[in-house]
This record gives sequence, C-alpha cells and structure tokens, in this order.
Amino acid sequence: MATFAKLDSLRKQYSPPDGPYAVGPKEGVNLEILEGEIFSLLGPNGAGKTTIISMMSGLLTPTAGDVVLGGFSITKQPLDVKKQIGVVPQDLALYPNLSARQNLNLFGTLYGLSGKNLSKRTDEVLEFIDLKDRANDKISEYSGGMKRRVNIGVGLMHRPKMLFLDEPTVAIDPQSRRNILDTVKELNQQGMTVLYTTHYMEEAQELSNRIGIIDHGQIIALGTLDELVKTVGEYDVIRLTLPEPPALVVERLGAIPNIQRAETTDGEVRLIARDGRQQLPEAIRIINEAGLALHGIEIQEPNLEAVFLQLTGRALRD
Amino acid sequence: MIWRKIQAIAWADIYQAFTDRSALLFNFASPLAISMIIGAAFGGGSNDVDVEAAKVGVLNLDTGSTQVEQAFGDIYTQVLVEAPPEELSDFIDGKTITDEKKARRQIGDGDLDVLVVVPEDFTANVITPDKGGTLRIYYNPGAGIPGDVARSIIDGMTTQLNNQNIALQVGIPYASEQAARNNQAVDAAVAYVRQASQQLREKEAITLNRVSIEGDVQEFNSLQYFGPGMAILFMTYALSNGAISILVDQRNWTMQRIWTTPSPRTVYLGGKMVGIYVTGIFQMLILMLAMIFAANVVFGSGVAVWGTDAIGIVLVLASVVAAGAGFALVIASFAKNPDQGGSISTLVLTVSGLLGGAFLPVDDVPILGQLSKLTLNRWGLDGFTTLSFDGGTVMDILPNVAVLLGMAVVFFTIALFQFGRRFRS
Ligand SMILES: Nc1ncnc2c1ncn2[C@@H]1O[C@H](COP(=O)(O)OP(=O)(O)OP(=O)(O)O)[C@@H](O)[C@H]1O
Ligand SMILES: [Mg+2]
Repeated sequence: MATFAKLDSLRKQYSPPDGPYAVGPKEGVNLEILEGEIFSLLGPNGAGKTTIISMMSGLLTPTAGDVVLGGFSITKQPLDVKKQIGVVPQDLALYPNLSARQNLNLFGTLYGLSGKNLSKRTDEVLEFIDLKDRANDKISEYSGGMKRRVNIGVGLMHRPKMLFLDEPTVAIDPQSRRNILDTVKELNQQGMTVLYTTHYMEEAQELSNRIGIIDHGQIIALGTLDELVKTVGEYDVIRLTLPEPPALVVERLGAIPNIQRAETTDGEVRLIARDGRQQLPEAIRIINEAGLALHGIEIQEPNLEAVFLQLTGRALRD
Repeated sequence: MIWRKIQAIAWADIYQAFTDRSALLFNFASPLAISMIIGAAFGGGSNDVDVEAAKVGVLNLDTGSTQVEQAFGDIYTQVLVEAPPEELSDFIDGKTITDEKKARRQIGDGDLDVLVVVPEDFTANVITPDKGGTLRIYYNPGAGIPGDVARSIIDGMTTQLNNQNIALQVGIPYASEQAARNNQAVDAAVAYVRQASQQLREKEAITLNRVSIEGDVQEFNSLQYFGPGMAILFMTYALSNGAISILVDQRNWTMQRIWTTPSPRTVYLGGKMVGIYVTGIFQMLILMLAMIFAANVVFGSGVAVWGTDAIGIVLVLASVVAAGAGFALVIASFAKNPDQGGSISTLVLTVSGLLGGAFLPVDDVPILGQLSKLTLNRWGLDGFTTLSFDGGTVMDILPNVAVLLGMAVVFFTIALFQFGRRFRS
C-alpha cells in the first residue's frame, strides 16, 4: 500500500508560560500512514494525540519537521492539504444554536461547496449520519450521541480522502459508540484513509489495521495488533481484585520469579507474568500470609493493555 | 469564493444574534424601556401627556392703516388674547406684552412659550403690493407640545390671512379655521383681504420670521437625548457578545475547525467582523424605529427622535456602529476567556456609556465633560442630538463622523493585531 501521510521528524515544543512540554522526541516523530488504512493512535490523556492531529491539519505550526499528505506539505501548501482532509475534533466543534443542516451548510461552504452541490451533499450527509428527521432542530436540543454524529458529518462534507477522528466516542453511551465504530468502518470500506485517536484499547483493537501507542509525546510502539501483542510475548496479565494492598505485599508479589512487574491501579493489583497460571498459587499464598481478602482473580491473554503496561509500567486508563 | 465564505460566517453570527430570545429581550426591550422611563422621569419637552395651554404673548405695535377698518395686529391680539374662540381656550393662554426684551427673556427662562411680535406698519406693509409684512415669532424649542400647538395655530391664522380663498376651501388646521370663522374681526380682515385679493393673490403678503430662543435653562427633549444614548449603549453590549463569540468559538473549537477548512485564516476574522458590524446596524435600526413608534404611542407626539436628515442619520449610524464594533473587539481581544470577556465588557461599556452621557448629560460637569470626549458614546450621541434636537445637517455632524471613524480604525487595528498575536500557533 502506498503512503498517504508521512510525518517527518515532526515535533512540537510548547513554550512557557503554557508550560514547557514537547510532543515528539528530540529527533521528532516519524510515521507513515498508508492509503486506505485505519491507523489508530492509542494513548492516555495528555499523551500528545490532539497535538499531532493539530499539526497534521494545519492548526498548529510544528516546531520542527513537516507532514506530507497526499503529496502536499502542510507547512508549505496548507490549503492543498486541507482540501483532502476532514477533521473531527475531540470537542463538539459545532454551533449549538444552529441546526444540523445549518452547521453542515456553513462548513460545507467553508470547504468550498455551493449552490445545488452544497444542498445535495448536506442531504446525503444527513442521510448517512441518520439525522434526516431532526435536521432542522438546534444542535443544543440533540442527545450526546446525535451531536457526535453531526460532529463527524461536518468532517465529511467535502468527501475528504482522509479523515482525522480525535476521540470521537468520549462520553457517550454504548449504543452510540457502536454506531460510530460502524460508521468509521463503513467510511473506510468506501476507501477513506482514517487516523483514529483513542484511549480505549478495545476500539483500537477492533478498528485498526495498524496502531501506534503514544505516551508522553513519544510513539513507543508501532505495528499491527498481532505484532504489538507479540512484543509482550508469552506474558499474561493477572488482575487481582485487592482493595488497598500494603506496598510491602505488592513488592513481594513483584519479586516472585517469572513475574516481571506488579502494579496497583483502581483497587486491583496487576501482575505481568510469564505463564501466569503457574505463578498464581505463590501469589495467593503471599496474599493469604498477609491476611488480606482477595475479591477476585482474572487472567488476561496478552492484549494492548498489557503491551502498554509492559512498556510504561502504567495502566492505560490512569 | 472568499467573500461567500466570509458571508457564511457572518450570517451564522447574525442569525444567532437575532434568534436568541434572551439576548433579544436584553438588546431591544431594555433600552426601549429604560429610555422611556428615564425620559418620563425627566419631564420637560414633549413628554407631557396632558397638553397644557401654551403661554403666548402678543406684542402689537401695529397701528393699522387708513385703508383698513381694523389693523391686522388687532386680529392676532383678539384671537389669541382678548376674545379667543372657545375651541382655542384649552390650548392658548394669551396675554398682551408691552416690553419685548423682557418677554424674550421670559421665553429663554421658560416663563413664556411663544411670543408674537406684530411690527409697526404691519397692516400698511401687508396691503401694499410687492411689499408684505413680517410677523416675528419667538419660541422656546424646549416648550414641547403646547408650544408646537400654539405655533401651528398662529401659522394657520397667518396662512388663512394670506390665502383666504384656498384656505377656507381645503381647510387649514381645524382650530384656527374655527377661530377665524367665529371671530368677527377676523371675518372683517378676511373680507378686506378678499377685496384686495387682486393684489395679494400672487404672493404671500405676510411672512413669518421665526426666531428660536435658547434660554439658559432650556430643557432637552428627553427622548431625543435618552433614545440615542440608550440605543448606542445597548448596541455596544450586543456587539460585545459578537466579539466575545470569537473566544467562545475558540473554546468550542469551532474556530479551530474553521481553520482546518481550506480557507485562509483571515476569512474567519473577516466573517466575524462583518457579522458584528451588520448585527450592530440592524440592532440600531430596529431600536430607532421602535423608539419612533414608542414616542408616538406613549407620548402621543410626532417627536422626530432622530431628526429628519436622512443622510446625516445614516452617517452617524454607520460610524458609531463601526466604532462600537471596534471597541467591542478590542476588549474581547485582551480577555482571557469568554466569561472574563463578558464581565470586563459589561463593566467597560457601562462606564463608557456613563461617561458618554447615556444616563445623564455630562457636558457641563467639569472633569466628566472632558473625559466623555474620549468615548464613542458621547460622539455618537452628540451626532444624533445635533441632527434632532439642534436641527443640524450633514455638515454639522461631519466632525462626529470623522472622530468615530478614526476611533474605528484605531480599534480595529489594535484588535486585529492582538487577535493575530493570540492565534499565532
Ligand atoms: N496550547 C498548549 N500549550 C501548552 N501545552 C499544551 C498545549 N496544548 C497541549 N499542551 C500539552 O501538550 C500535551 C499533549 O496534549 P494533547 O492535547 O495533545 O494530548 P491528548 O493526547 O490529545 O490528550 P487527551 O486524551 O486528554 O485529549 C499535554 O501535556 C498538554 O498539557
Ligand atoms: Mg486530545
């Protein structure tokens, strides 16, 4: 597959007083997104996902490096790049006092559509996001899921070759999330290249052809789901539901041979273990000895969560 | 294409400004109500709902002419002072005057509303072909409705004497026609004039020479003052909403989203500025019309709240809205976020309105009077009152227009610079 977007030594240094924070290592982020794929950037809050999308869409000027997208450089030919991309921001970037139709018309005009083309395309998009009957209601009267769908619809008005979706499923109900994930798949089947950011590993797992894991402004792992999971190899994650375990106990758990790491998060202790089942009796013995009540045990096959945990020592949902 | 995009952004703003019910209530109902209330409380001028009789003085220096039985001057004295017809007695409270200087002072002080001076040889001049007489009328423009009524009665009488043939057929103002009919002296004069009509027909023998006396204690017509004052103040409030919407757009990411479309960034700010300006013009126009309407309904008079010089009104309107839009943008451009922008704007704009005389005239207050010259409110308000209250014309308001446009240029430059600095990424 051909490369559609190429991040070339891309770097953003936020300057004081907003706080010195760099997205991208010293040498910058290098990344290629292939034509027709769904590429996910998976990372926790503050990892730098929005910063990267903003640089790719011409909102933020990179401190260093460049993005070449569809053959054009975002720093040198921004308008040519922008014609090819649709951006769905993390926030609901809509005018709440205008209707869905008015929002679509406004942004459609800004994307360069006019007259019959514009009204026809607005109808198509309304159909696609399944909001035809509510098209003339104000956005402020919509449910969260409906707003999210309009937010996506706006980014589709000019039939972009590539769509950026920045955490499009934050704070919505499971049904609406399902709907959005299906929408993304459908768009991709129609040939659209998608850059999808999320901090839900399930979404990245379900959608992506390839995944980049990002943390503290750096891409720490990159590959298909299988490739990434292989990096944790035969490691399993053992999740022990254990409210407020003493630090000493966690330390002893981590010291068991073949347990690589022990972490506490959200009332549970996670052990990254080679051959998890074999290590379980010893772990339970330590917990019993300490006189603690074990509320639950779960052993997880390797997944992205485990990859992230192994790479960073933290859970994704911190 | 660029222009279409600018229009689309401007339209979104204008549409939202005029479909937001609470904003509408604040932007339109409150200035209307406030100016009416302040106007009524201030008294003076045309807001006396019960029309009092006008205090009219007649100074008759006319000794008549051997050719006429009765001097024309006596006709005015009789109708206005000695034997006013019943229909007039509600409107006119007449007295004869002997000391012209004193009477003119009384007009200045408001003790007398109208003074009619019939000069010497008035009758003789009137009946002399090609000569004609001049009746001098002094009045206080602040006298309001009673003064207006008295003047129109005198005008009517004069017209009637001038053109009795036509006058009796088409009917000039009702009261004076009755007055003329009911009074034998007038009938006599009319009869004479008819006889002399061959000479009089082609030209008006009597001219009215009106002198308005502006006394020291001259009262302003309250609505002509507070109407524009409030309209300008609330226009600036409305425009600050528009300017702050830039900060709201930034917070909601609609601004950033617009920047991801293939449009130069100037399209966004351009659209906002056009939207804000047009909103301001609409807001002012609607308030102007509403105030004219309210003045008629509430005060029952056809006060020209904004004057009658259409070109002048348009010039002041266009320039005061430009200055207001620029000012609102400057405030917003320095605010941290929409909430801070909202409170700072309210404060700054209210102070500017206060200094500019929206709530009270400040011209004569020592320091405030000078400070007020720094506000767009004062220059706009002065522009409107020059046109309405002072009967000025385009030439008289050009300085105001120039100052306001100058302010607009400075404000827009600062705002563009500051927003440009903020949005650099
Ligand atoms: N304008 C800015 N000025 C200074 N620092 C910023 C700015 N915008 C973002 N940052 C910092 O850059 C880092 C990355 O932020 P970014 O918004 O890209 O993260 P993210 O991965 O999108 O997070 P989230 O999942 O919360 O949306 C954060 O530490 C953030 O505080
Ligand atoms: Mg983000």
